[in-house]
Amino acid sequence: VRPRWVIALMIVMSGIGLALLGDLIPTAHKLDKWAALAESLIGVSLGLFGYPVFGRGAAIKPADDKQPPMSGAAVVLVLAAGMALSACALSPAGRAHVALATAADIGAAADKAISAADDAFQSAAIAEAEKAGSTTESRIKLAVWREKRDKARAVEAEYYAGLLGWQVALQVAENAVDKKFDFAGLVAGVTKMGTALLDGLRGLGIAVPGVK
Amino acid sequence: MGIAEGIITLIATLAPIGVKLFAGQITEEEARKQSRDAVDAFAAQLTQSRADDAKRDAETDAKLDAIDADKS
Repeated sequence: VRPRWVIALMIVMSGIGLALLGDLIPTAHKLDKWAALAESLIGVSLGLFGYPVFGRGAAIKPADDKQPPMSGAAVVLVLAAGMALSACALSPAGRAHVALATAADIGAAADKAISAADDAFQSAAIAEAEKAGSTTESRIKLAVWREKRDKARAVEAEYYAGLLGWQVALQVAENAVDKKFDFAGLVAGVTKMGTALLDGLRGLGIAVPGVK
Repeated sequence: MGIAEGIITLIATLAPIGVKLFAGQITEEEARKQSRDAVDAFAAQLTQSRADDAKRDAETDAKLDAIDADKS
């Protein structure tokens, strides 16, 4: 086991442990502004501290030198976790859920926009080939475009993984309020999130050691 | 639908929900259901979009092949 994996795991466990302590939410429900502010700072700090560890920890290695040294997924994940903690601390849980729904709807709107752009580009490529009487140029342009589109879809998958991370963090926080621990729900959520994340990484051509 | 249209639609859809929630007309349980539904819907849309991409690619390639065939 790589030491960096251990550090990353420790941060995740610390975050869950903090939420499980149950001190985060109850104080926010009392609307103690200073306590809520301090707790939101803890959430953001966890996100910021997690960023270099997840991103640069070599847990995610680039497939080749041309790839970026880190994936956007790591950023989305840790910031989502930080946002979830902040949202829980600063407002009643209902508002945190509306924020999550908004983020999901933003992703859906972006997804539709990509589909519309793809449709327009491919139609234009066909029209251009018909006009020119040759498909060579259109095929080249299409190959470049499709690569970009597929990368955008991969980033969408990472964004979705970030949303699932947010959802899991909310679930853990809410359970902490009720002083209960839904282990099965947590495992299911984290598994779903990991699958979406790996899907996104594969789409970006980023290899994860030990995972095919 | 463009990005700007998407954002406008989004605001128009969510603004009433936000107002109701802040006014206390939406329960936490309803808000929880909305977020769950929104995330699930996004996941379903992602899967569908990828399938649509593959279908569109195949259709475009077939049309380009037909143009080449006509030429020869």
